[in-house]
Amino acid sequence: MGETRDLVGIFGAIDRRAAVEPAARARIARLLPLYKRSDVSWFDDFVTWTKELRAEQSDTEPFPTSLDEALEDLAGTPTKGRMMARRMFAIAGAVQAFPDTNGTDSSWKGAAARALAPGLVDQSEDRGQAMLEILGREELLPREDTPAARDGWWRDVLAAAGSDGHIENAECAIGPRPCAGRVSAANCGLVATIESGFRTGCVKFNRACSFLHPTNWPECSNGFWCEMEDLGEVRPGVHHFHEVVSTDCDDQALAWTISAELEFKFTQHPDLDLSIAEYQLCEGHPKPGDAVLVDEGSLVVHGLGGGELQVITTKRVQFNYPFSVEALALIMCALGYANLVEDLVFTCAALKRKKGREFPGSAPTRTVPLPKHPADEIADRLKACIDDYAEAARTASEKTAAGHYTADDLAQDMAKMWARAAREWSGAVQLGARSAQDAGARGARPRAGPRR
Amino acid sequence: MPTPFTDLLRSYADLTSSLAEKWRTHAANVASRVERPGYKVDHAVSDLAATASLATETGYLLAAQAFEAVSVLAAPLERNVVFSEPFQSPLPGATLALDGQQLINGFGETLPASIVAIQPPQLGSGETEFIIRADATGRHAGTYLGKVTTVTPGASDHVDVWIVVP
Repeated sequence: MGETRDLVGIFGAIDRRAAVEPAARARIARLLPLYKRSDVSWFDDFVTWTKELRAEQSDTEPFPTSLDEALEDLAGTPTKGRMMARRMFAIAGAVQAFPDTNGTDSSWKGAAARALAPGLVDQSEDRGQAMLEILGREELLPREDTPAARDGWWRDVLAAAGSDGHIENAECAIGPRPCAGRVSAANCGLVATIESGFRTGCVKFNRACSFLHPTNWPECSNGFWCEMEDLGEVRPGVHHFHEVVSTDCDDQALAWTISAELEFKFTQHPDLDLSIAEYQLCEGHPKPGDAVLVDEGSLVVHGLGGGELQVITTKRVQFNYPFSVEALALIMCALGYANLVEDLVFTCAALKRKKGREFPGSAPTRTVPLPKHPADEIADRLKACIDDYAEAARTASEKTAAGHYTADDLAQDMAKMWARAAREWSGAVQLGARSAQDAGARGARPRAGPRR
Repeated sequence: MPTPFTDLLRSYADLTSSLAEKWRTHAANVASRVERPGYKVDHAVSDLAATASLATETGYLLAAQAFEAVSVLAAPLERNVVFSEPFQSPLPGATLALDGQQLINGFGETLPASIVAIQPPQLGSGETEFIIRADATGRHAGTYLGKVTTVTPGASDHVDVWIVVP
């Protein structure tokens, strides 16, 4: 079974618990602050959508139906790097969602310890139990509702795990707190923007950059990126990639699986120690029936000197299902979809002996420009028009002053202005229609409104 | 059932119909005047000015309609103000300005100078650090690159800058 599928199952159990138990929601919000809002939920909609995406009807549930089932699946699944970080974070969330209280069933904790074991020294269940205790340790939990406090909690968890010998070199083997991105909204709350960044001295600049090329991703993402096929250059320096991601690449038909056609541009700026991979949907997308309506962003690796790197990841995303921004962000958290560079750095570059691929970026150059922003284009057209009319008036004025302006000149000038106006008329209608189509495509949704 | 798109097409049709009527009337008036005896240069200039005015009005109305197309069918935009990491001027106390008209990303999308600010535009005595601020509302995500000119009395230099629009 796919590791991501089981992680989604854990986060899903947390989500359902938050929906019915306000006290649990408040505890979960200490680690996942999006749950501070009482109306935020995503899992049931995500299950519904996953079933809708299937090419054929099936009664098989796409995700584990209980916390125990998800944890037991993970108990037999090897893990390391960022996938271990996500596993730890998901289980920390479960500790908050399902605390020990009188009358509650804590049997899931045995499965949680077994699920943690594969990523710990000796892979022992005893260490899994100890790690579970650290993840729920009250004195380590964030005392303030700030990203810094949550980062501090994660650092303390790793420090405790390291000092007790459960994880070796936790800073480089595990990396920063998962699901830590800053979330904002665009397009009336329908597009989620997720921005995250971290600094690390665990990997050298060139090695980190060597894993940025998308063809590395399927090997570095532990089964989430099923395909990243380079379909060739579509414009100078711009490559078309066919992307397939799934919660279970080995069983895509029953799992949550989507594909997207993406353009990538790679840029290197040696003077700044800066490597950038930018992506966006290919021209002509989204098309009717596409699962992904918006997908664009940057992966940035910046050398800071002294062997330290700064990594920035941004992603704008909207699916063809009316998830709220909060729901989208929680889905991204469960999938690890918006934090790919963490996998590239902490799973592939830091841990594997695997050789990357030379970063293909060129120095910054202007590519074939895409169509302008409508506001710029309209302004340019108007200015050009008025410049033309001013020039005609100036010429007419000079001829008038010289006593040469005639009815024929007037007819000629009027004809020119008419031709110009007619041309702009047509252009403006096309521009308006194109903007409308773009806006309509961006806004195309099969359902009425966003769900929280 | 009417949709925003059909409403928009109807409004375009109404606009083009009213503009056509204006041009037809204007052309008929000018033609009738030109054919009259006594039509002079002053009259021609006046008619040309009226033509330019009508042409400009046409442009403005069409532009307004195109803006309307965007605003009707696209949702209102939330502000997306972004800040760069700090940069260092090689010249302490320099006056800073964007070199060129824009910052540009890998796909050729731009952040025009009009929405980009250098903070502070004038470094204090001995100071070197500045940041870039951009109101990237409605702009594509990406990493935008450019240069900042740093000028002090008697010296000038450039700094490569970049800013991530999430």
